Amino acid sequence: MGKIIIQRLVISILVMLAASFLSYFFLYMAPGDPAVSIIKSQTGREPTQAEIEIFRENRNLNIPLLDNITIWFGMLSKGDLGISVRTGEPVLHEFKDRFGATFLLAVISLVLAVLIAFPLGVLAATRPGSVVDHVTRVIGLGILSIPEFWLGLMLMVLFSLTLKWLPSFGYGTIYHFILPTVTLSTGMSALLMRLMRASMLEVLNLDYIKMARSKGLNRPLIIWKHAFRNALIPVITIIGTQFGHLLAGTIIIETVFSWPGIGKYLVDSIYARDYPVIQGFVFIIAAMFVVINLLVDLSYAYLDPRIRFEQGRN
Amino acid sequence: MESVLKIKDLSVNFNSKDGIVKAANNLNLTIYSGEILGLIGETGSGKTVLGQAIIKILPQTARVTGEIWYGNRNILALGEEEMNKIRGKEIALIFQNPSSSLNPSLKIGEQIAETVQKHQGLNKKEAWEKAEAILSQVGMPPRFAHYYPHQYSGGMRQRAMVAICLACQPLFYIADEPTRGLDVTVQNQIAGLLNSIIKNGKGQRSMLLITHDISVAAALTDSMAIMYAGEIVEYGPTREVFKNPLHPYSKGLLNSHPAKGLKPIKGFSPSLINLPEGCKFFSRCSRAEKDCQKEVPMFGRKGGKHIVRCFYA
Repeated sequence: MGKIIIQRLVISILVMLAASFLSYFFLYMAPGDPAVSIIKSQTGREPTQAEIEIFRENRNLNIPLLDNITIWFGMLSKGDLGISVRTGEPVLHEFKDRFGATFLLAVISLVLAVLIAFPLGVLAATRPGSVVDHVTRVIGLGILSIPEFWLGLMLMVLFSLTLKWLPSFGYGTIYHFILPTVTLSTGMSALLMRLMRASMLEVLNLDYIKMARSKGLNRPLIIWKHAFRNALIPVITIIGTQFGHLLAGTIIIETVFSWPGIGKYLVDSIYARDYPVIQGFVFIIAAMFVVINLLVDLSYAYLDPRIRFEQGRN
Repeated sequence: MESVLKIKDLSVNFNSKDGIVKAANNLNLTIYSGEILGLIGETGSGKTVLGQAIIKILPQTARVTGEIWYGNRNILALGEEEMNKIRGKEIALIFQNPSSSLNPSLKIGEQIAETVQKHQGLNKKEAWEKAEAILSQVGMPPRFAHYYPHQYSGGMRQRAMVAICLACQPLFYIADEPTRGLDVTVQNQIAGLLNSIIKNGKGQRSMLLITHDISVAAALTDSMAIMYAGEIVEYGPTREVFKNPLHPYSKGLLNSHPAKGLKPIKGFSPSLINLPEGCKFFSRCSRAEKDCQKEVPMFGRKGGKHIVRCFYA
């Protein structure tokens, strides 16, 4: 077990370094000058050549690509992600200030989606062809074909503008959470429900389920103890990647609901060519993906003893 | 002798895309207490379906008609809840292919203990103690209870399977190809284990042994039923059937055994979807006459308990 984790950590560090290198390289190649766009947004007029030069000098924008990368890795090793060109604040602070909002949104949406998807998926799988199965399938497919931003806007129109029950944007109270989390978890629960149903159906047809029946065990025990755990393995993979995307900031939904999370901030930074922020955020997001994948792999090992022992032997 | 299980006019049909699959047709079979009855036939003759019909775990697409009398209860008329009090407790099914029939994510001990917990009302700790005791009863070290199926060898898995079925000391066992896919030495060990379970049952335990392995059947069974295309074509005490097989199919089957010179029966079994009208063996039979094609022969008695379904036997 310890050996897998060490192997994984080494690979993870390499992945993170590669991700941040690539993101930096592509940004450098992209057109647009941060000096121009930031001064413009601050003063509201075309900057003079002198202003641009001073800005570039002050914010370390004149350093060549390779030197810059060396500096970046040097800073990384000290846990420093640099300073935002736009705000002058350390990137790490900018991230910390916004990550809470994104994290809460992600966790609540995911938990909600799982709580809806798992029981419905299992129910549909244990009664294939039943009314429940057909209804959940039709609704699930319908939901999957609705774009998320449109659903968000429609919910906003209904519950904020027409009924005036919930705030349409912002962050702070529990009411602010309802529309964004419902929007995010709707699509996800439809996806997870379909997956859960398919995986569960497959497991329920296996020999060991027949064996469990032949032992006289009752249905709930067979479904939850014998089938569910084994059916969970493929679903966990998808949950992992979904959660990664949520944590990386659901850019569209955060924009629709003016959610003060990292997704919205990252997009704003990209428009402003705020190199240090983009680079720092990409690095942290890559790190989060790596950690989530590691957790997914560990959960396989927990769920399936065959994986646990096989890898332990290597 | 007292009968344990009486199967009367049992038919099992499956609806499939290509038509109705007639897996068992008007089967009649009685199993007596203390005996091992061998159900012999080639793959696809409906043996497994019969075994699973007795314990009622066929898929929902199966249509089962007839009666299966277990004591004074007709199993086919029992509800799920009543059935669950019989399954594992009074009737146990030893599955073929233990590699896929054991749950990969549960320890063997747990797979034995849960049956005991369910039927004998023991708590978890007591059930686990019992599981370890049963494992040693089937010739395995008790500590193997803490291992997962993938840590077992093929033969050990089959022993574990037997242990699960033995957990509540049922009186009736259905063993579905218990020796399939095992090394010959391991086959002999498992066959010996099954034999000892029945023989140590003081005449109370009995077994339906489903197999296509004639040597296993010859070694273990007291009586034999030969199955062909969903029908039983011959039944009798094992010694008599072996010494004097009457049905042309039985003769062919016994002659196809390596010890008898490995003479295969020519042709193939008919599809269970398009069964011929008369004798199902007609197209492969060297003795067949015209009337064989018209009607299904009834059982004829050939001395004692030996019966056969053939006009010319």
